Amino acid sequence: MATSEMVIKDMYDVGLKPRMIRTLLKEDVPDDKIPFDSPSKLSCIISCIQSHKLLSEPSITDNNKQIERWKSSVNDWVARLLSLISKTTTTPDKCWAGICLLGVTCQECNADRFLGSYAAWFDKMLTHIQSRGDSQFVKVAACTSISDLITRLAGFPNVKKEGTSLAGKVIQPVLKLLNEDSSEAVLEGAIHLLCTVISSFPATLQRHHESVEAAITSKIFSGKFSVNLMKKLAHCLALLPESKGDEDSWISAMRKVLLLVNGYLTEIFTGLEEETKWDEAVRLLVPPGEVPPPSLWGQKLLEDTSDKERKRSKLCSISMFILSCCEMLTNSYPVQVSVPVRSLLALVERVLMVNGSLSPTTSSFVILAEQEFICSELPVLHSYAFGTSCFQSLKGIRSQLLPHAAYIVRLVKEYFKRCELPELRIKVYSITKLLLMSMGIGIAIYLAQEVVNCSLHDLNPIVDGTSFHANAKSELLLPPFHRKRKHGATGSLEQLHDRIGLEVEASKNRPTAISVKIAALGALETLLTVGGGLRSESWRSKVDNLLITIATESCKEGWVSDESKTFLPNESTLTCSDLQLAALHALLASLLSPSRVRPPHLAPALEIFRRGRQEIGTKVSEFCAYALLALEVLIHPRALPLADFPSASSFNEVNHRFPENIYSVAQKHSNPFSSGVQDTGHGLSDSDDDLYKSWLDSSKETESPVGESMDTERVQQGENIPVAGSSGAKSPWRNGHSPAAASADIEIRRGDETMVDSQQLQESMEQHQESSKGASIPTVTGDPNVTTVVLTSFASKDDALNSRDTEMASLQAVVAGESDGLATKDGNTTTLSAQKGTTFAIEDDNQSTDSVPDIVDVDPDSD
Amino acid sequence: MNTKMEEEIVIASSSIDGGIGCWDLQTGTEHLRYKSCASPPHGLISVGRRFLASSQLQDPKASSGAILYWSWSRPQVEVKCFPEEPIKPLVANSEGTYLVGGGLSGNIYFWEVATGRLLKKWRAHYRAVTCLVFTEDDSLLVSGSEDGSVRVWPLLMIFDDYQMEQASQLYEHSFQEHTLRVTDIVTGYGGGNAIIISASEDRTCKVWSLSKGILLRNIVFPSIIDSITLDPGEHVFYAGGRDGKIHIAALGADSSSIKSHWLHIIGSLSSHSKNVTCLAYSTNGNVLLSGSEDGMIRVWDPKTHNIVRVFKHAKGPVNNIHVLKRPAYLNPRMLSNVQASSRRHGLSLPPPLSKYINTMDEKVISAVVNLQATCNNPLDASSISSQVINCQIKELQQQGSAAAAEMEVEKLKLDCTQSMQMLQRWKKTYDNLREFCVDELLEGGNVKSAN
Repeated sequence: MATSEMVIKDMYDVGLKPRMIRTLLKEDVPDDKIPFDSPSKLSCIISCIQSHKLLSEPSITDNNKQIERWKSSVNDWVARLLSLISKTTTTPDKCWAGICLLGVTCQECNADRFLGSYAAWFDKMLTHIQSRGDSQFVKVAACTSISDLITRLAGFPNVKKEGTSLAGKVIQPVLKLLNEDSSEAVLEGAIHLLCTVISSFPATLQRHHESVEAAITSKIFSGKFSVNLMKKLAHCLALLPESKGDEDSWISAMRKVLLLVNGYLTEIFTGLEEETKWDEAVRLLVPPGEVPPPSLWGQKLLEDTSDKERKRSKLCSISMFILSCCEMLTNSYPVQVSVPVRSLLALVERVLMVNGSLSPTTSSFVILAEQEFICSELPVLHSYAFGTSCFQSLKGIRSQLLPHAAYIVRLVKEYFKRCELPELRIKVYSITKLLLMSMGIGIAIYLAQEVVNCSLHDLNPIVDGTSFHANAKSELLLPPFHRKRKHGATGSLEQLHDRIGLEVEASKNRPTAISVKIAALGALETLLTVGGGLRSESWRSKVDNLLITIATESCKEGWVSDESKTFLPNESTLTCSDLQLAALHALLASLLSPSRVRPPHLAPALEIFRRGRQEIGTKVSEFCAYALLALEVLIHPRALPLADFPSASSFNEVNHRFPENIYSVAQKHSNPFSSGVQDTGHGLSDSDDDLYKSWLDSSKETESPVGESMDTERVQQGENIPVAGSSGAKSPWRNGHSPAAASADIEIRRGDETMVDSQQLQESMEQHQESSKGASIPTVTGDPNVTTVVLTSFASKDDALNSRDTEMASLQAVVAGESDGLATKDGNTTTLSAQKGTTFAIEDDNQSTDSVPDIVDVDPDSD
Repeated sequence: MNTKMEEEIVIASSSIDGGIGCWDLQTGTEHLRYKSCASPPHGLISVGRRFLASSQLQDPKASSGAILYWSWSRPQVEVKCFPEEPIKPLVANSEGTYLVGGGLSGNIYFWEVATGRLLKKWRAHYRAVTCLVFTEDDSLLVSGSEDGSVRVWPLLMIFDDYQMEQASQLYEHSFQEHTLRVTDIVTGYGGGNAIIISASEDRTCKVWSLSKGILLRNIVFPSIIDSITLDPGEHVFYAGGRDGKIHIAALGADSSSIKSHWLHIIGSLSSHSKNVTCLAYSTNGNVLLSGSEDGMIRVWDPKTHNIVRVFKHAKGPVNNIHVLKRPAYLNPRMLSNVQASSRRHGLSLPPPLSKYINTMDEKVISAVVNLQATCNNPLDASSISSQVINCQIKELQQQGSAAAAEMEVEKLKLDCTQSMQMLQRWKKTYDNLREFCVDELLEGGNVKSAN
């Protein structure tokens, strides 16, 4: 028997595949004779088929015989499955197995076979959906297998027509399943099949649109299913307009949903809000001149019930309808539609502004029990309204949201003040993030203060920084802090505290939950990313300090490994390692985000990242490596031209020396603080690398006399002032900059023609000298006009473009490098700058009170 | 042909009616020429790459302005709008949802493209607005005026009626240092930390810090600068002067080592032509484009300072150039296809811009949104049968659920019927056998008795 063909080379041998199929058929796949004793056998078969790609039959191979063999074995495989499905004598479990395996075959077999036989397979499976007597398992399996078949069919562009007619056959049986009192599993299968049909062949549903809509909504209204199934129903409802695909059906679907939700809310919120809300919603939704329909899908919009169960089911369907309307906003749609943004936002506001307190106009007919019921359900409603509606409308509408942005900002701000429950806070933070990302710097100006305040409250390390490990001390520290917060809150908030005992409890007795902290860190990170530079003076240093403290705190006790997570039952649980990661993310943003001073916490942060990188194989180490890469540019600033034009001639030279250069430069980067700065060695020709050049230049500059070295002095003053002077000033770096900025301003105002300036500049310099008895006298007088101009230009650059400025880098390099030439000058300048420091510190106070220099205030428009 | 990069096209217009020229930047072939356009400087834009729009030069006595739309596929003007007053600079945000125009009176008009509604109009300058640009993230608008002022407008503020009442002014910054008319403005990279560069007839370009609102650098040029463009790395910027030169001014570049009479100016590109009126930079091929008063568009290699290509636009001065990614609808082969499908997909041109703010729908209650999927990949649809099967297997193994029990019952029932059948068969066999035996016996008896 053992011919040469039967010898298998290795696990990739083509000859192996047909043999494996045969073995499966012989031993595992059930049959009249082969028993099907354990369902787990099925998953073995499926995994075997999927991992070895047993059904994939390639069309071209050298060995035709093997292909033939493979083909025939797949034929056998399909024949066996069909016989399992179609014979009436097979037991339901075998039939179920057959349908499942056919579903897998639909995905796995090659295209030719699929196109050749999908119709036959489809008919076989469809009978099992239609027949009354079949077991639920079989029905569910038939639904999913057919939906997989349709999904695959939709991928072939040339069978659109056949696909549509095929999918059309499904609708009636599925509708029957929906309308019958089927079990939840069957319903789920049916809904899934329906969704697949709508998204693959939308045209099939055109005629059945109304009946499908009625079937789905009645299921949602009944409210007796699991949340999972309800979500699927909502999803399907959102897909429905696609079956028609025109603007009107989308808008009318959206309008119906919004009207229904508003109507239900009116009833549920009676006594808890002003009574005009319903009219307002109608005004926004119904075109003028029309009246809103009294009922939708057989449900009255406005009715009075005090039945608790009825209310509960209404609340549930409200959540689902909101979900459905959000899906509509994010699903793709073939034509452009006009979204009723205004009424969406009004709805969100309506839900969020109800906090369970009685509205002042209500008489006391609302009984206490009812209020309690609403209060207990509110958080869920809020989280749906916020977590979905706001989000989705943002994503779908994008820049069109601009006219409404201010409204949203006010809503978010207002809610930030009220919101206490952790999961709602998380939602607010993530919405803030989304807003910041979508509308950029413009919205950052508005939201910054609010985000900072709230995250400072949530992250305050003094209160519960040590609570990563559930420290009992933090609880002792909490009460006074909380009183402070309460003090700041408005009167209505106080009321809220009293009314909703639930919410107060959540935040009072426990330190902030890790998940809230992570959300707060994320919001801060985004704020720094988007708007770290603009109008950030008031909060920036606070945030920077906070972030470095949190990062140090959270990493103090070592790194929590990711693996501890695997033992937790719920995968989505956030742990300390997530917090560490979030803290590191935010820390990096705080270092990279532009500001007026060099990041004050660079050194400790680098230390943290270096330590983190050593935890190889964790997310923390991955991120730390990235952070170190990003920060490298901060330490060695460079601005490489795209068109390398000042030194076009050296291009060739650079080219053939390339490898060498890389080496030398890389070496430098790795140890920037070594004393061998001037030991430049080779690679001199690499003039493209400004950084590199600047390092080389540093040695030249120190030797060259007046002109350029003067600049180094100036920078040195900047560096030295904080050490020597600055007794009272808070941010030492600004001291160094303010005189520079002042002189730049003077120069600018004096006029536009620089050449004229030389004399005036002298004056301006003298003004400075008067106040400072300063170092620059000899250099100014001893130098031609050109260099004084250079001086001022540097001053202004120094102030603003400093991270980009290459000269700046070189000068710092000089300072860091402790070159001999400088050492002598050092003596001169430090003594002088000590005096300067004190005088400028005063000037600085003036300036820092008004963070924007006075140029801006010159304003002819304001009157 | 460089197949890796997306193809780019150049569009250009002139103050004298020469239409809008449209060339392929890589190959140099000319596409359609869109007819009847005489635009002011900064008056030509492509709105979200969907269509072209241009404000029109008007008779100074004309009471209303004109803005025209062209679709990519047809040379004729398709939509004509007549705003309240002549509009000079025109700009759209990157998504193409809003159109902003600057009026002769100093007003700025803010339209929604999809509906044509005039959403806002506000007094921005004392004299005519000369240029408008959006910052990188589309959240701030920068405007320059004939009176020499440059102002930064946060759009959120413009739409916030509540804040507007409280604040004394709408703008974020107002830069007054230019003494004469502002001719061009560009904004740099970096969100809130970006720089703004403005050029003016006072022969200077000024570099401003957006975050601090202060002047960072003042550069004096030998002639008036009419247009500027940034090197994408912000190493330098290019300034096109009335002396026919394109000056290169240093931003990040080292200017101290270059001995120049003019501070910060480190070189120039010159073709001894007439005034340089507009500039554009193509990041794809790293080339600089300049439009000149002599009607030519020159393409420069900034590395070698050589001209690599020349497009001839018209006799009159070119005053707008843009480099765009080639829109899909420009392909002539696809043209007929596109026209058929464009109606279906809502790609036909939007309605004209309205003249006044409609007080009826003063509050914007809806937004026209395109919900089409950005990426339509059918392979994304995932199969779920293996998941469902696994769930079912689990359920079966636990044998707790009613459905599993049901199936078990069904199975047993079938077993039962099969056993019953078997029983029947056995019984039949037994009967047969018995009959046979009885027969045999009887027969035997008969035989015996017979014997």
